[in-house]
Amino acid sequence: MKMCKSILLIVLVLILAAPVSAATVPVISPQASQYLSFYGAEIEEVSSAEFKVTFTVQGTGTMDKLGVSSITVYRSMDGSNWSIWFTDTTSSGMTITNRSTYRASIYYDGDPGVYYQAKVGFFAEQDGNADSSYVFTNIIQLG
Amino acid sequence: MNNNKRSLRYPFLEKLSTEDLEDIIRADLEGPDLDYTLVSEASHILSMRRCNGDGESETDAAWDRFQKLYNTSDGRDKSLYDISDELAELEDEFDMPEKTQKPKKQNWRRIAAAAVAVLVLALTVVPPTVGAVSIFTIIGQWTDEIFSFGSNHSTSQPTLNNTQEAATYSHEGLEQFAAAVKGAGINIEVVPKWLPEEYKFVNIESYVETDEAILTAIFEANGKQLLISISNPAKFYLYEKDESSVEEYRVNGVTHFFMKNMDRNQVVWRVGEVECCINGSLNIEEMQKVIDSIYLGEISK
Repeated sequence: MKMCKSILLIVLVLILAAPVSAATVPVISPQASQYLSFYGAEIEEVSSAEFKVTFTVQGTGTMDKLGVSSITVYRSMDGSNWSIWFTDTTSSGMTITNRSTYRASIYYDGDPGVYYQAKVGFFAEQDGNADSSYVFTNIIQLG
Repeated sequence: MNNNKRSLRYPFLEKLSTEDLEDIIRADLEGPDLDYTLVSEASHILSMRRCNGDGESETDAAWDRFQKLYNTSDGRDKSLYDISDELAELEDEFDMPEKTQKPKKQNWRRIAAAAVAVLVLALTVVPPTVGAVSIFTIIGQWTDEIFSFGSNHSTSQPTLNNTQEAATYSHEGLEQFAAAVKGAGINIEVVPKWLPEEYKFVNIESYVETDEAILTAIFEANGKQLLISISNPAKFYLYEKDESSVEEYRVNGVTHFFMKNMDRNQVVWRVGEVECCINGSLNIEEMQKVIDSIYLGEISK
């Protein structure tokens, strides 16, 4: 009986250990990409009433069009209950043409004390074909 | 209360005791279905009795019976239903500790052992689809689809570019790129000094601000481009990759991660606060040679 318990304990430990390692990888969107090489985004406080979303994206070469297709901003009063505040698809500076790499910041007004996070959708387009992906940024609270 | 009274198809039910009515309902539930109206009326009469408090007198009678028949002096401290034998059998079957034992210490020992096992496994066992490097200094993590550095901290020892010797580059574009990188305040050996001869320099793209920079050199051969990117400080980038394994290549104290993204090979590494990436159609041997060339003259694998 004790042997059975030991085996069960080891199995339980193995089951528990696996997601601990996996959970550290913030994978958002799967699959290899024909046109996207890497990307990342972060949200930063500019002032107590303004923040910026900065993104970087690189294609697998010089792309016809490169950048972000959307920035969805989430906000929360308490840091745990979130709601979509708005989705930005039209700000200038979200895309660029004939570049391999693009980095830019988009600025937004916010409210002091409120938490913000963004979901940034990337894309790379070449010869009429495109790949897309997205990441969630870090979370900030405006001061 | 009589407002709820209705004409019954089976008036005799009203003369039955509550127990008899319950027996009828139980028989319907457990055995073959009885007449629906019979069961319904039995149920109705029961509920009416409960509403009228008729059940209270029966409860009192039952309590009196219990006191008289079972709560006797020779039954003090005994269970109404003696299950001590069954309990003993259960304890034997499940190897339960004796009541006199103090299991707390044993439990703590088990918890401590489990905690150690979890810690060791978390540091050493890695799920098949996820990779991680170095038990105590995780700097690269990957799945079947994505590669990323887990944090903004690298433990690789940077090789400072303090030598005054002029490096020799196979391509003028590489030399230009090295100058641009140095101009952006990055004084670490990160630019290759060699590329296959067929690659021609295209241009350099740079985003340089006061506190951060990302520079990309583009080369091209046979219509396919090769990109060398340097970011300072390192950002939390996600690198696209396919399901093929990530290979580590350690040169000069720096671990370089080789991976494939469809038909392209990609190598990613961090040194100090700088994150670097080369991706193109070079084969693995060529990529290794490109990496080796970064540290020419000071290679220590």
